[in-house]
Amino acid sequence: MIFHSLHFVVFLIVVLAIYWGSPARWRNFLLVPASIVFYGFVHPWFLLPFAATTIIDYFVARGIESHPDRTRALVTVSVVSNLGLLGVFKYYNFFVENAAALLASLHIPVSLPVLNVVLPAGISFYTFQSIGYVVDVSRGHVRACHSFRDYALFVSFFPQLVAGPIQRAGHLLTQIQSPRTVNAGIVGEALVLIAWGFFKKLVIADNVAITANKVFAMQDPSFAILWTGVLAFCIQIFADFSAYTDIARGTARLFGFDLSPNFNHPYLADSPSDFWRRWHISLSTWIRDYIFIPLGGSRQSESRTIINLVIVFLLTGLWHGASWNFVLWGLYYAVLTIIYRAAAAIVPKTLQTLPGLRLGQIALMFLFTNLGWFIFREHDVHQLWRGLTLSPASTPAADWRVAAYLTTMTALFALPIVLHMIWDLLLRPRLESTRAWPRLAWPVATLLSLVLFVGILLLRSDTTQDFIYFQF
Amino acid sequence: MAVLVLGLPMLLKFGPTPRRPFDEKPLRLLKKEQPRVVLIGDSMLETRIDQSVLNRVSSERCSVFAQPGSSSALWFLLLKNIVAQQTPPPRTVIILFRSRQLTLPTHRAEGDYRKSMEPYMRGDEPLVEKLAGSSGRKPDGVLDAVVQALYPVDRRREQAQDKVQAWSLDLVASSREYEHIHNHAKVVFGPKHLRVGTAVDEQKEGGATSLDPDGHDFAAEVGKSFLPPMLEIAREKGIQLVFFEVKRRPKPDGSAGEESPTNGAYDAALRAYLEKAGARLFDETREADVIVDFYGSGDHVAPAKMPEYTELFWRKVGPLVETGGAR
Repeated sequence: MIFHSLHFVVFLIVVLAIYWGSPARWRNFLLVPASIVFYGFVHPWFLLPFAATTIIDYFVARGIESHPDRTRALVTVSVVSNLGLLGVFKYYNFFVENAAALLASLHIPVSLPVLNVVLPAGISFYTFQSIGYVVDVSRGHVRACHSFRDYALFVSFFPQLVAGPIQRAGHLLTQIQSPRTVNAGIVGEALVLIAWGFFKKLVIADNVAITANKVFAMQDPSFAILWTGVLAFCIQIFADFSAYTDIARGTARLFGFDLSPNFNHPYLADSPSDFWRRWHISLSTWIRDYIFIPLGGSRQSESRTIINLVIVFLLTGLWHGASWNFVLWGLYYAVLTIIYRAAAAIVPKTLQTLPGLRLGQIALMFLFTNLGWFIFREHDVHQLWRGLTLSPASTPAADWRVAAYLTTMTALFALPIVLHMIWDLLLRPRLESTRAWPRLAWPVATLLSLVLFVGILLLRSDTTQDFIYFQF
Repeated sequence: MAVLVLGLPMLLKFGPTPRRPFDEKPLRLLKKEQPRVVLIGDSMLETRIDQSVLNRVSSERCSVFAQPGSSSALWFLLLKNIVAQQTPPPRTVIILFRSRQLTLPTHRAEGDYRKSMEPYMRGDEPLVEKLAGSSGRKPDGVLDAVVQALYPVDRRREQAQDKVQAWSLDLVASSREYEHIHNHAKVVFGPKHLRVGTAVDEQKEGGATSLDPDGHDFAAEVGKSFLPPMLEIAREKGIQLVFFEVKRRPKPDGSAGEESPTNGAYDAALRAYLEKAGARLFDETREADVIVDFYGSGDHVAPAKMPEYTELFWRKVGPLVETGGAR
């Protein structure tokens, strides 16, 4: 089920009514079948790999608790089973196609069978969430959940099941095991999050997607047109993904849950590592805590740190999809991070703290981010190479005018994001810097939601698309 | 709170969306060019015919009216309100089409397609509303239908989006340059520049507007299409109508790609109908010389092949135009 459908509107109203109308002890029990209906609504078979992950990791965690001496073996079972599912559904075809191509280049023609199935939605999100839980139990950070119902809800909780944010057991599972309440303040916050999420998706992301899709459907865009499309995609992917997060967080608030945030104004990042502290926070912190730090992080030799960075960024790229451009995208961030680290070591501290320098750093990082999005969006390696080697001088004069027009339109659609950013930075207390909106009195929240809703009615795009991160 | 947020916008009332004004420029262009032959079509025409090559090989004054993303409703409007208004009218009008576009009046008549038809509409165009059923923009799914029914403000969506476009233009260009930027944008994003395997203008096609000829009953549907009024206009103005069915992208072995055996029956019925009404049909779908090498993206001809294709086109159509003979 997708958020922007009548099915979801009806589903949410019905589930909310039953949920808050039921005794508190039944509420978790109710949310599990509701989440199953949500997830299996279009493709019921998606529930099979999902059920496998849930059941295996529930028993693995219980096993770790009762047999600590077998922790390593049990964690291995969890990791292998989850990555096995990912391997089959997400990476198998990529592997066999490349293996066949490699063998063919060695004059060994082979015909390997490919898997013709749809990638189960959200598989990369729930497998990582489940692995994180097992590792947390093995490290003693959380206790194994004894209630299968509660654990099933932790993995399946429908607002964040398909595209995150990836939750930690210490954050969500503890809320599942505690009583929940709702009040006008929470409802107000939820409404603003949901309205802002839908506004970003339907008005901003879907409108700028028209430019991005047109440009990336062209075989020979000029420099100006190409980078106009890349900028449009840069706005689209942030508006789209953060919209999903906001709708998920808002919906969860209506049920009394507080999901961890996923974004903190990523385009204000001043370095690649800062970008990854602000973009898809739940994934980057997951990779930091479960891969980068266990590998030794940055506390070992410089060469080992570089190897660790390359490993985690390659994995980050591959997490997004089985395609060479995602591998390149990961590698790109690894190289960029290494260069920034080297520059930080060379440039004197006094220069690094010059007033106004941060603005320049943000602008430079924004350019690098766009270059990254070009690699991310462009699946055709030949087109990628062509785009990277295009000269601005080759752009016809008339193309510059069209590019200026489209860039301005993209900027106009992105204006609410900029306003939100300014408002957020000026008004929000520092301690709450990762919340999507400052706490608002309910009349203000209602008015803001109303304005956003009318904005959606007036400005939503004719062509609505699936959330980009559904494909991952 | 939710009731207020969802309820208050229902009270915002608006009248019907104003239509885009009639565009006089095509009339002026034809008056200036005084063509003997006018070609009408969608991106199949735009990516196939090079007007300068056509003028050279035909030794005729030819005008090409290619509107990517158009179909029979817009072609009817072009014929009625632009071409037939010329004095004297052109001798021949050639309409390039695919599959069953001619008898599918609702094809590309909604949403953005409807928007692109409005500059060719004079007044209310009751026949277009009746046949294409496009007086309003049809909802895209149940949720859209519910939103349209509950919130009259939704009808102002198109105007609001137009305003965003207008503001964007205002910020980068003077009003004199608007048209130039718009026209250049059309060229830049036109079908000639699409990647192989991509056809943006066909994204919305499917379901009820599919061009698939299977199971299509020509005799039952021709009366509800724009063909009879088009033939009537041509007869009144003394214009020879030639319909040219383009060959859709063939398979690499040269065999027909999208065509199915049913299309043969459809073509036979169409040919008989047109010839009875004094028009002509050229069926390119089984022409062996139009091979896959001609094609760029989808059913479009690759830009580099357009001159060669245009010459080939005229070798086949020219005799029909000059002699009025049938093939």
